[in-house]
Amino acid sequence: MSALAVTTDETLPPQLLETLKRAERLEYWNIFWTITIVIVMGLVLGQSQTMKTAWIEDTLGLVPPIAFLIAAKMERSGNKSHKFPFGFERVNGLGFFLAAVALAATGALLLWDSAMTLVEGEHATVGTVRFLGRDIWLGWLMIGAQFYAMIPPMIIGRKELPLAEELADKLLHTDALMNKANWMTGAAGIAGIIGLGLGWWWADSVAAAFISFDILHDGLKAIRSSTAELVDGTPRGLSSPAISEEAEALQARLEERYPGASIRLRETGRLIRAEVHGCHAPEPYPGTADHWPGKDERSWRLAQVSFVPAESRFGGPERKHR
Amino acid sequence: MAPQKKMAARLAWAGKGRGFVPSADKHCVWHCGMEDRNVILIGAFFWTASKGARPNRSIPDASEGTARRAGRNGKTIKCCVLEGRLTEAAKIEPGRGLHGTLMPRIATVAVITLLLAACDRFPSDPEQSLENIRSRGTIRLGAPENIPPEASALLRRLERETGARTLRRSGEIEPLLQAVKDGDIDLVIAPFRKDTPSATANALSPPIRTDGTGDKAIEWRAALRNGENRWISLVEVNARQVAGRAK
Repeated sequence: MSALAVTTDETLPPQLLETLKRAERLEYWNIFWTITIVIVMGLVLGQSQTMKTAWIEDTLGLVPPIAFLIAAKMERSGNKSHKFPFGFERVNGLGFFLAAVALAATGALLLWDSAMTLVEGEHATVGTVRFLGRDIWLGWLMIGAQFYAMIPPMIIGRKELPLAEELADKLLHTDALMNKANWMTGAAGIAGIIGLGLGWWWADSVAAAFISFDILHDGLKAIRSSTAELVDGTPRGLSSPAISEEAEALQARLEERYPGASIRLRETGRLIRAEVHGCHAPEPYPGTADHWPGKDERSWRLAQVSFVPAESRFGGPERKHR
Repeated sequence: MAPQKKMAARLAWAGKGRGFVPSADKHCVWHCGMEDRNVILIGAFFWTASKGARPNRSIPDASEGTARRAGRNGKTIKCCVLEGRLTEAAKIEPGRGLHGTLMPRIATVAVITLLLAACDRFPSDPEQSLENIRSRGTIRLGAPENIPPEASALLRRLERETGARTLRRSGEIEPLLQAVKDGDIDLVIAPFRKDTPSATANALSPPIRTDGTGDKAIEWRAALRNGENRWISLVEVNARQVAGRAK
């Protein structure tokens, strides 16, 4: 059996580490603003199903940034050890998966809850509160809280997006998209409260169902993407479960360089690892980054190219997989 | 004259013969009562106005030269072509291209106007409890035989606010609460233990009288049909005032 040749370059370039730190700072701000939203929404929750659902969604909004911060910390400072010889770069993927499952489960639960409220025809009571010396309908405060809850996520989502793309970070990207799309939740919530105010008792449950469907949809999309990484699937795009353009280009480059070899790509966190089955490493070896088909500044994504010249265990040459 | 009354008087004058009606309830922030058809008309106006100015997205390739055309009176106005229509909804920022600006502004104004216009209707009762009380001229009350003076004070206030008189039905509290839930009576005034409110299927007003202290305290409250938010709001506001006077 031939020896396995592995060439790796797993260190992130300094400018990327700087971007990672910027993303971490942004996520701390994200957590701070999300907590203020959770408090403001919690203060005016009332009996409204819409408000309850929106409040839970806002609380769930804490999961991705916390998961990102834990993953980033482990990725930056977690040393490789005898127990974890590959380091912690996949913690991000694990965090992404956990966040996705939490989102989907909560979305499904809330959707069921809203549907049942609608079916049973429960009328939500939203009365008055004493506010600044006046009796005011709580619905006005709910609308105000929903407006407030729309603003910070939209700003943070816009700031997160370029960082996520630079870092090729799915967890951050999902968080950015969820934040950016948060205005829809806010608008649905406001519509629900206005409908309730106009005497349409069903508006509250319908808006809540819309919001929970959005949570479920986000969760399912994220599950599809995150499981692909966990089962060593070919690297997926940041915002879709389709194979990423960078992976397609890399596959084409490796097939062109090593004709007849079987190319396998997988993703560990933000890094891509390639296996070239059925051929030896070229002599002299041009370097891992030389295989990268895209711009040089993105070549850090290709962390490893392994050559596996072994024959299959059944004796014949290993089949080429695509 | 208090500013609110002044405003109500002005609106009543301005709305005379124009479909505006002054507000009767006191829990609304602005008393700007307007009939439904006016609310719909205002909404339709803004909707139509916004249709001619839709672009609310950036067009990075657009340059100022291509996005200008001669306006009225020889003035040059910024505009853009979107979906085959020329609009004036554009703002051009160096390096960022063309952005729609009018639509968000119109949308914001429309939402605020609609909210203000419809404010007097907020909140409404899905089953028109308050309207029915006013048109029927009676408040159907369920209460035990003996009620405290605070409950009588609350009823007097509600009679004054609605122009209706109280029609009382006495009996066991549980069947009365069920009758409120079913909409057979309008409210129940009864003593509740402090830990019961969440267990009840009806909306409860703030306490108007509290006997005893701690967990064993007995609170007199009004129980109302869930979701009848206008009626509930009216009772809540008056219950707070009665409780405040009692202190």
